[in-house]
Amino acid sequence: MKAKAKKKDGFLHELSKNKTLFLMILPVLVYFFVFSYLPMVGVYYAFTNFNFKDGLFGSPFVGLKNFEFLFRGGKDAIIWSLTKNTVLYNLAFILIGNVLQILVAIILSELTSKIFKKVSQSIMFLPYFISYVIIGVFIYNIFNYEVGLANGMLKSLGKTPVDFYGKPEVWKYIIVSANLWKNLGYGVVIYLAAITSIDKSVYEAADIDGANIWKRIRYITLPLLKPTFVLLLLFSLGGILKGQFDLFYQIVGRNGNLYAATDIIDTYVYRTLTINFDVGLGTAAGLYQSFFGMMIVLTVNFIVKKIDPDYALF
Amino acid sequence: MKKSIKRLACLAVAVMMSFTLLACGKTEEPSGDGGSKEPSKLDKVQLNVYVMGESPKEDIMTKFYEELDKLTLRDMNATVRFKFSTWADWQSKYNLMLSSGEDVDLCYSADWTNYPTYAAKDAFMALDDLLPKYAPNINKAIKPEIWDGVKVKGKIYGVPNQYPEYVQHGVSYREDLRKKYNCAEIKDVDTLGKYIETVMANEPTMKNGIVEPQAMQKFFVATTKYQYVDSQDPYGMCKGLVVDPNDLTNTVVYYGLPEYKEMAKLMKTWADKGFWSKSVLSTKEDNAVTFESGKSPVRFESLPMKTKESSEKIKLKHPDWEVGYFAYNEMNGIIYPCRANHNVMAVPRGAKNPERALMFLDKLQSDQEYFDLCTYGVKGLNYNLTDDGKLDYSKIDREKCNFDIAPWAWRTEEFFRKGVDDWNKWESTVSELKGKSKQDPLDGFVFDTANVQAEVAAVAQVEEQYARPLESGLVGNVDTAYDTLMKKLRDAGIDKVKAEVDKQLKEFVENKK
Amino acid sequence: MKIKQPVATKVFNIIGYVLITIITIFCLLPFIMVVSGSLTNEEYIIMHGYSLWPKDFSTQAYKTIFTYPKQILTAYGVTIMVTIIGTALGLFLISMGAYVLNRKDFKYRNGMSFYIYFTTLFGGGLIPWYILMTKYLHLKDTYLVLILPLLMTPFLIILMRNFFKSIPDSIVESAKIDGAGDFTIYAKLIMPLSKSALATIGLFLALAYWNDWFISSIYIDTPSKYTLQYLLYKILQDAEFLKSNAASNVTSSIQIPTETLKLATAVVATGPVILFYPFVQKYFVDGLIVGAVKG
Repeated sequence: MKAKAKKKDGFLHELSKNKTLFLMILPVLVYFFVFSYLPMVGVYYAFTNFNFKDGLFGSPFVGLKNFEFLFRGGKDAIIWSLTKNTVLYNLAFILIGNVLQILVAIILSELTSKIFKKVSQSIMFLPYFISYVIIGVFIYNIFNYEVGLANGMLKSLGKTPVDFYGKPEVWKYIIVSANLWKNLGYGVVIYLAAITSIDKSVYEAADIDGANIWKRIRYITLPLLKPTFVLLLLFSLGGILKGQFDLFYQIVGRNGNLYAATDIIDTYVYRTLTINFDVGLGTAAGLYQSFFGMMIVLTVNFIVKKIDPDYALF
Repeated sequence: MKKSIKRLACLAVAVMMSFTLLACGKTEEPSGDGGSKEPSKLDKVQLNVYVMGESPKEDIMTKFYEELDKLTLRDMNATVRFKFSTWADWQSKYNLMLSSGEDVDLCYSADWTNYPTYAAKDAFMALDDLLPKYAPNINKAIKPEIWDGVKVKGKIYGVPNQYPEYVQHGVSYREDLRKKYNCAEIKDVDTLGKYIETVMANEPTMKNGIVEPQAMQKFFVATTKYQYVDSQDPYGMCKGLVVDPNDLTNTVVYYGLPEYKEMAKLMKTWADKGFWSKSVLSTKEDNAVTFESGKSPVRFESLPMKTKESSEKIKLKHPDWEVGYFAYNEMNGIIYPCRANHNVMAVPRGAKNPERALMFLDKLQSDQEYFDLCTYGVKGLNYNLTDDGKLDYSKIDREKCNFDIAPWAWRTEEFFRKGVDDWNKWESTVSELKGKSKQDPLDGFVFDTANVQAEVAAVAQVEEQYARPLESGLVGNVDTAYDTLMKKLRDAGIDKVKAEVDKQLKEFVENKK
Repeated sequence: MKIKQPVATKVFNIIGYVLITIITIFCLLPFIMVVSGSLTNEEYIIMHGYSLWPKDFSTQAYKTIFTYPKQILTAYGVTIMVTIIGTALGLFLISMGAYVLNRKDFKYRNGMSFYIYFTTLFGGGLIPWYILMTKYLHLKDTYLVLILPLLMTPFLIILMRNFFKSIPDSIVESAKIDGAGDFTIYAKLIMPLSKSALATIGLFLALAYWNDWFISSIYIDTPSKYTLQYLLYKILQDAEFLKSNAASNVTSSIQIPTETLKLATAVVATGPVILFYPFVQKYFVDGLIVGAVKG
C-alpha cells in the first residue's frame, strides 16, 4: 500500500520535473497506443470460431482448437520442421547479411575515390526496388533446366546440366543469396551512417599513433559499430519466426519438390488459408510466431543487459 | 523563451490530435435503415453494389449512371452505385468489406470467393422470406433445385444467375496444327498424347512448351466412373475424394485408385519425353499466354469460355490459327452445368436496404433494358447492335469506351446477346454440352470442415508436396513416390476426412429425398 | 600535397575496389535486364526469355502504362505530396521521441522503449486495424490514411535513439547548466549534430512512403487519390487477371503485355528515386573520409 503510493508520487514528481520531455514523447506514445495497441484486441480471434453475426467478442470461444492445424501430430507435427526452416533461414539472413553490410560499409567509408563510392553505393540500392515478383521470374530464367542461363553455361563448358528444381538443397543458397542481394544497399546505409557519426578526432589520434588501416578498423570502427549491430540483431530476432512470404513464394512457387528445404511457416499458413479460409487459423499462427519471437528477444536482451546495459533494447 | 518552447511542443501534440479530429469530422455516420418496407411508398435511397474487378473509366461511368438513375429512380426511387473490388488483393479487400460491415447492399459471391464459408459464418443475410416479396420474378424463374444449390445450412444466402454455364474442364488445342500433321481427332488420353508428341517434334519452338501439367489430373478422373465431390477440387476442400454419382454416400480416395497410379506412370513418360520443362512446377508462366503466343500446343486447365477468349485473342494476331476444344467429361458422360453457387449475388449483413437491393436485382434478371445497360453499357457509346440483335464493336473505340462491370451473377440466358466476333465453335460447343448435361446430384452440397479442419490442412499439404510432383512426372521413381504419397496421406488423416465427408453426404442425400 | 600511402592502405584499397566492383556489377546486371526487358516485345520474351539488350524493341509496355497520362501524373503528385509531408512530420516526431528515450536522466526511458518495441512483436492483424481506421477514425478514402500508418515505426525510433548515443552527454549537461530548455537543446544542439542520422531515417521513411501500395489498395476508393505504386500495381494485377481468366463477359480484345509490363512498372516506379537519391547520399558518403582529411 505504502509502496504503491510512493510509486505514484514518484511518477507525478517525474512528470512535473520533466514536463517538456514527456510532452516531446507523447505523440509517439499516443500513436502506438492508437495504431498498434488498440487493434491488438484482434489477437482474440485466435481463440474463437469466428462468425460475422456475433462479431469478435460474441463468437464462441474454442480454446486452442485453432492451433490444432499446426500442432496436430504432437512430436511429428508439421510445425516443428517449419519452425526449424524459418529460424535457420532468418539466422542466415541476419548473420550473413549484417557481416556483408558491415564489410561493404567499412570499405566504402575508407576508399578515397568519391565518385566511385557514390556510384557504387547508388547501384547497390537498385535491387531494393526490384520486387520479388521480378526476382522470381529472373531466378526461373536462370535456373530453368532446359533453357536456363546456368545450364547454358554448364553445357558450353561441356558439363551435364543440373536439374536445380529437383534439388531442394541448392535452394537454401539461392534464397539466402537473393535476400542478401536485395537488402544489401539498405543495410549499408545504416552502417555508413553509424560510421559517419563516429567522432573523427578518434581516427586522427589513431593516425598520429601510427596505426595502420587494418588496426584502425579492428580497434576503432568495429567496436563502435557494435551497438548498431546489437540493435539490428535484437530487432530481427523478434521476428525470427516471421518469414518473408514474398521472397519464398515468388522464388519457389508451389513446387512441392522443394518444400522439404524451403517451406516456412508463412507459406504453409498461406496455403492452408487459401483452401481452409478462416480468420482464427491465421491469427493463431501469427500468435505462435509472436510468442516465440518475444521469448527469444526477452532472453537475448536479458543477456545483453548483463554484459553491457548500454546496448540493451529496453 | 522557455514558455514559447513549451508552446511549440504543445502545438506539436495539438497537431497530432487535430489530425485525428479532422479525420473524425470527415465522414458522417449514415443514420437509420433507409428503406421503408412497403414498396409503394419509398424514400429515396442509394444502393451500393459491390462487384468484382475494375471500374470502367470515370467518364464512362458518369454516362452510365445517368442512364441507370433514370431507370432506378422511376422504378424504385433509388440510385445505384457500384463499388469495385479491383484485382489487387481482392481476397483481403473482400474479406474486410464483409468483416467491417461496410455500407454495401448487394455483393457478388461465388464458390471461388468462399460463398459457402461466408454464408455459414453469417456474413450474408438469409433471403428466404424476402425473395417472394421483393424479387418475385427471380423467385419464380429459378427452379427449386437451383435454389437448393445455393442453400447453406438450409437457408438461401445468395441469388444465382439464370445462365447455365458449362464449367467443363478440358483442353484447348490447335486445330490447325492437328490437321496439318494429320493427327487423329482428340477424344482421349492417347490421341492427346500423340497430338502433343507430333506437334512438338515438328514445331521446335513448342518443345517443353506445356505449363500446368498437374491439371491433367482432371482428365484422368474423367476416365473413371467418378466425379469430384467438390466442384472446386482438386483445389477444393473435400481433399482428393471422388464419388460415384450412382452411389453418393460412399466416397473413394482418388489417389488410391489403380487409374491414378497408371496416370502417374504415363505422366512420367510424358515428362521424360520433354512435353514440359523439368522446372515446370516453379514456373510463373501462364498457360493462357503460352498457348495464345504459340509456345504451348495445348492449354490444359481450360473451359469452353476460356477457349472462346483464347480463340478471339488469337484471331487478332494470327488469323490463320484455329482453336479446338475437348471436354474431358465427354469420356465418361458426367456433364453438368456448373453448380448454382458458382455465381451469386448476396446481401451482406451490413446492408442498409436489403429490400430495395433485391428489387434492383430482380429487375436486372427480368428486364432486358436493365440487363443490357449493366452488362454491355450505354448503347451507341459502349456497344452497337446489328439488325438481328448481335453485339457489334466494330465502330467502338475499345480502348476508350470499354465497359465491363463483371455481370456474372445476373447473367440471364434469355437476354444474353451473341457477338459478331464470337469463336466459330462457341455455339456448337455449348449447345452440344447442353444436350448432354444433366443436373449435378451434388449441387448444393457444402462440406463443413469444422470437425476435421486440421486434417484437411494436413492433407492439402501432402497433396502439394507429394501428389503434384507425381502428377507432373517429376519424380525419380513412380512406385516409391506413389508409396510415399499414400503413406503421407494416411498420416495426414485422409481416412478421417473421408469419414466426415461420407457422414455429411449421407445427411445431404437423406435431406434431399 | 600528397602523402605516400602505407602498404597496408594500398592492399586494402586494391581488395576494396575489386570487391565493391564485383558486388556493384551483381547489383547492376539484373537492373539492366529489367530495363532491357521492359523495352522488348512481349512475344519475344515468352519465346526466348530475357537478355541484357532489347533484341526485339518495343515500347508497348510503357504505352500501356501511359495510356492515361493524366492518371499517372496525378498519382505522381499524390505520392510526392504524401512522401514529403509524411517524411517531414515523421522525422520530427521520431527524432523528438528518440531524443527523450536517449536522455539518461529520463526515468521511464526503458519502460517506454519496451512499450514501443512490443508493438513489433504482437499485432492484431488486418481486420481490427481496418475496422479501427474506417469505423472509428473514419479515415477511409482520405489523404490522411496515406500518411498516418507509415508515420513512424519502432525500428526507426530505436535506430534514431541509437544514433543519438554517439553524441556525448556532456553537451546536454553543459547546455542545461546554461539554462536551456529541453526542447531548445533538442532543436538547437542535437539536431544539427545528427545530420547523417536524420538523412538515414528520412531516407527510410521516404522509401516506405514511396514504395507503399498496400495502404492505398485497401483504403482508397477514389482514383484521383491513388499513389503511384498502387496505380502501377493495379495496372499489373488487372492485366494478369484479364489474361488468365475467362470470367469477364466482354471479350477483352485489348492485348496487354503482362511480362514486360511487370518490368516497365518497376522502371517507372524506381526512376525518380534514383534521381533523388544522390542528394541524400552526400550525408553518408561525405561525412567521413580520413584519407581526404590527411590529403
